[in-house]
Amino acid sequence: MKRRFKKSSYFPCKLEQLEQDLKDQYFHASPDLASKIIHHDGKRCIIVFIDYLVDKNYLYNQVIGEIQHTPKWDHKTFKDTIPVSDSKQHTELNAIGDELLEGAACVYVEGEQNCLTFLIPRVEKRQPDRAETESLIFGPKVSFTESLDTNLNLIHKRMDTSSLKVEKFVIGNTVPTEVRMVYLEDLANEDNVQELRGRLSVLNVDDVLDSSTLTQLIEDNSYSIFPQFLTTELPDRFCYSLKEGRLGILVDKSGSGIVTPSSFFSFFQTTEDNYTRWNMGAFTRLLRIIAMVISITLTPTYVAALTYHYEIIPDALLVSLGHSRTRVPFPPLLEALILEFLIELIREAGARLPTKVGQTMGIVGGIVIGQAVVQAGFTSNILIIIVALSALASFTTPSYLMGSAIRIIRFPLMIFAGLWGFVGLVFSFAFIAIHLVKQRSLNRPYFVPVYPFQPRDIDNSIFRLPFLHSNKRAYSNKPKRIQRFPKPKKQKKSDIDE
Amino acid sequence: MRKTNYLGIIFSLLILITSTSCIEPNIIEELGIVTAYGFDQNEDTQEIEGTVVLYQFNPDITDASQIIHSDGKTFDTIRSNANKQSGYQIVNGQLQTILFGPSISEEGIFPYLDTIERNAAVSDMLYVAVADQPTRDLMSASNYEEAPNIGIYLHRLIETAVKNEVIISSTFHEFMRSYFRAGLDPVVPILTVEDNKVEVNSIGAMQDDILVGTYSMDEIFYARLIRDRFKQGRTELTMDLNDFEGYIAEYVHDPRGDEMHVVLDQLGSTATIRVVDIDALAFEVDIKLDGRVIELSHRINLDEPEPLHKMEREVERQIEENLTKVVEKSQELNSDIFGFGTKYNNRTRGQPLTSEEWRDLFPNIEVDYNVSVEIKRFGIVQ
Repeated sequence: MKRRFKKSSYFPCKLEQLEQDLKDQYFHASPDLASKIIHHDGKRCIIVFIDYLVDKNYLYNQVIGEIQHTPKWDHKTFKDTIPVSDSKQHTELNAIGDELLEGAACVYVEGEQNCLTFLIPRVEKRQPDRAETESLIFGPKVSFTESLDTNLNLIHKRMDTSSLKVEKFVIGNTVPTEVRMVYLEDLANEDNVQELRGRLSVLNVDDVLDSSTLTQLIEDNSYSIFPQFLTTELPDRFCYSLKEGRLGILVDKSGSGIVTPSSFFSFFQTTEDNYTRWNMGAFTRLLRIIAMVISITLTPTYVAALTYHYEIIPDALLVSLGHSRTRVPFPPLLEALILEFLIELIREAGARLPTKVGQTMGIVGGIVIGQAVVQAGFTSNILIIIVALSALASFTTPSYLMGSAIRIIRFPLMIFAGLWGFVGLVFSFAFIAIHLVKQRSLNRPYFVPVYPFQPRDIDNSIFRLPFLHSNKRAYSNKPKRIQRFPKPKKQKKSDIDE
Repeated sequence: MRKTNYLGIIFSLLILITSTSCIEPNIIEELGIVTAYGFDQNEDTQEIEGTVVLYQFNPDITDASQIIHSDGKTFDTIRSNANKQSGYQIVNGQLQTILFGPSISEEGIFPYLDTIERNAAVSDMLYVAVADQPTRDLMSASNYEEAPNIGIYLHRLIETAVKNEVIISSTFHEFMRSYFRAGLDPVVPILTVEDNKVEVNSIGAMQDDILVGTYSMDEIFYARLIRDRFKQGRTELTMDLNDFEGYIAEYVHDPRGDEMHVVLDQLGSTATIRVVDIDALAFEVDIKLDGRVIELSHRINLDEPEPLHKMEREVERQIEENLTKVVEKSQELNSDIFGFGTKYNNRTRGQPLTSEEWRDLFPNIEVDYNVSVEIKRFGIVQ
């Protein structure tokens, strides 16, 4: 939407005229447009501002106070005396209106050729708080806030280096939103920077709601179920990625940053893996990947084995499986779908409700319904265990988006397993594997280090080594400097009893 | 970048959807899952009487095990006839044991195994066994310990015996391999019922698929020495006490007698069969055996090298003696369960050995034995 005003020189004009025009033409009789006319030495001056957008304290003390104490009233003097750095002179009404919307106070002395604006916005922002969605047990707990200034401040505080580069983009036609691309100039790959810069500058949309919306606008394949750009609300994770040679994006009014390029396995990492000792970190990383595989395969395998392949059930399990199935009136596929659907219902209901009710919800859903469903013969006990286990496993994924993808992907897999048995299961695994291998994140391979196989990168993605041994950054990011620090020389150890 | 082949995707999805009906669903609670078959021959009608042990899952009955008797001329007819007596679809996918009665095992069991070989759903790891009485009686033995049914019990029974190296393994796969290989005959465990409980009695030597004789549990040890290898075997030998005169410690209560019993365990063995002279049909069997003494009926000081060596030589002599007996027995039965024929076949060029040729040659072979025994440990005897 473009606001059209006559381009003829508007000033000088009467104070009342200016006030009236702003009110009628620009703000369409907004009740919040406040104005004040001050007299001094035969001169008149008007101050116009929007009530809730300016810092009142600042306005009264610094702007109006200064004006009243200044003996000589003209714009040049005001500009010099009023201690606001961001002041501009405007000659057009719409420019003044835009400035007012950003939180400026407009000052006009009658008879002057232009109008002065002083930017004194009132910004409501919360203090950096503990991370909620990506909570950590061990390590820094601060999270990004919704204010871009605070977020940049948090990053600069952590990355006290001159090579940290911040590029500004403004995206959105209707509601312009400030977007910052952050990277370390001496590390980030130039192709990646060019690619991301290109994607951000080409973007022509009406609005960017949040950083997660922005990822969906600039990602490589919008049809994929897997997220390709990692969003995080942890500044330390964001900064760690930058130090790996990745690029970061911050969006104003959004409480999370974007990290790119991100591989499939980076969604299964947390910074906690780095904070704990290497063996624990490596263990939890492997645990999460195993949990992901379990979460995807367990229920479909149950469905396939019970519908088609009774031969593969171990004979120790056969009797208990058969017994628990006898009371169930549905085929295994339907049984599994019902139960998975139930778990999803409980999860969704728990997420929508306030925390206190949510807990009750979990008890009601988990225990009462779970018990009753088995008692009523809707599902078998063993399926309850399997479904609960795979739901639990899917929640170990640190990235919420990836966790949801894993939960959703189970449904088509179950249907394939229920219709074609293991043939269908293998078919769908092949389909997922092909999809993952073909996927890209910012034109970099997504399934690295498995494909393309990069054995050197296993350290930084699936496994973790002691820090002194992992002195190389991930090759797949193609950073400008691969080495973090020179490999330390082995020191001769003295005997313990010396 | 390549364009996505939508036509290909649609086509393959279409094939998948239409192929849904190609796979026959076997929903577990609708199945009668067979764990064991027993076959007997009815002497009058020449029909086969089958005993089918199966699981049928019923919510109200905790014991899922069932036994159905059905008749027929072939394996599959017996299965489908059994199906007439059951509301469940009877399937063979979890089959663990096949048992043949005495009458049928003397006439050849291969025709009934053939159908299993052709069925990919049946595991090759099932055991083939022979009963010394009609399987119908054997399978109604009610004491099968904690096993969920008699079929599973039979499988566990044989498996434990194989694991303990008491008998020679005879899975379906091994049976078929020996059956089809010229110069090697299958062995099967022979089961019997004692006090309403099934137990392994002996092993049977087959001539192709016909049971021709049995080896007692004592003989199995020697048969196994050549045919298989020991990792954790044990055996008991009886020796003449007078040979060890001078090394016997005095007892307070002297049991004396003339015999001394020695139990060896943790026996490890390797056997190599070599053809010495192909025209004279002379073979040589090298056996290396090591183990420890776990029980001695008399107190002999084995710390001294002399009695230890004496004992080792005595063990060697006895083993050789017994090996000769066992191999001679197999020659009498004309059932080469040791695989001399396969070694012979390896040395002859041109014409491959046929089973019939080896039947003519096998009774005439000469076998020499080189047994070397090492007693590694003899316990901490104070």
